[in-house]
Amino acid sequence: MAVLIGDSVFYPTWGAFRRPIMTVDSFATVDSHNIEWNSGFRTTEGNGFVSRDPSFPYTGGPTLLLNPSLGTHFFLAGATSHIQMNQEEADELIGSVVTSATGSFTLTVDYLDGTGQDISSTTYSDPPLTIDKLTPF
Amino acid sequence: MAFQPGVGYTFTASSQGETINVIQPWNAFPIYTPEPDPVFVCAPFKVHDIVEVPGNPDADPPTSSYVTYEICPGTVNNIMPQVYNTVTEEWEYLDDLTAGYKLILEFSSGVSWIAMRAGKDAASGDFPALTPDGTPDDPYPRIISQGSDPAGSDSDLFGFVTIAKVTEVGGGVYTIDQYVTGSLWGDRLKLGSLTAKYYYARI
Repeated sequence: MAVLIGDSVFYPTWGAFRRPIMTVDSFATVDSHNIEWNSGFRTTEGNGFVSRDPSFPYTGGPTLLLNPSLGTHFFLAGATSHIQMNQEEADELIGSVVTSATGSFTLTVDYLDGTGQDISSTTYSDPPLTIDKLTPF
Repeated sequence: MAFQPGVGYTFTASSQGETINVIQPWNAFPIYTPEPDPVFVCAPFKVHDIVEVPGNPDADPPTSSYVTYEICPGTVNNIMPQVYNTVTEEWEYLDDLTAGYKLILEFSSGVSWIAMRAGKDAASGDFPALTPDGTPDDPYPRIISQGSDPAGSDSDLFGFVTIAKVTEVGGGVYTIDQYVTGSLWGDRLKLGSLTAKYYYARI
């Protein structure tokens, strides 16, 4: 069944297609056609937002964090169940260095496989402080 | 070569060549229905009928000249904006103006910008505010006229959409550059402490 973009708070217009990247500490305050994020990462280039699948009315955003089920894997939450971030943009982050207060590692394609990238050999711990190609806000 | 007959131009062809004479400039959308009885056609936020009203230096007190405009109703997020009626000195809904209204343009260096200003409701967070509060910083959508380009003026408080630009040519003649020709849907997106950004789609 089709939905009408703009019909309700969960179907914004441009907001349906664009998100910042969220982390373990991020949350969004969602009102009618007004979304405010407390913290996260924006793209350094461009308008700051990544593109997402507009067909899913999820009002959060693509989230990079340690898989809470494992604690040793860093992943894009929900990467395989629904498209949180445009595939091209998700691939663009492969090779980026993720740095926290305790350690760092380099993202591989495994961060998109659902379980996440095994970083148990590192000293990294959430939240990330810097991610290449992204700027924290 | 041949051109089908139409409104606003004539075409002649001869052994000396072809001539097209544009009598009335074409527009992106029709202003009037075709002959024989043309009727003005409104489209959302279309600016039209710029009229220069001369001043009267003999009046007591003397009055200065001013320029009025008309704008067709349009919506943003299904909401009807307000515009300032200088006769009643009230902000009134664009589709419900008091008879005898006058909308006055603000010029600077012969140019006036018409824009829509809208902000989020401080209490509910809705964008734009659903109910006007009548204050100078009312976040309810307002059609405003100012002498400077509103582009780049966005803040956490307001987002601006430039609707049209009116330029004084001289001798009571004005040109209109229309930038928005339809009703709008807009979103406000804010990242942390960064200035909010406003995105609009035309419908």
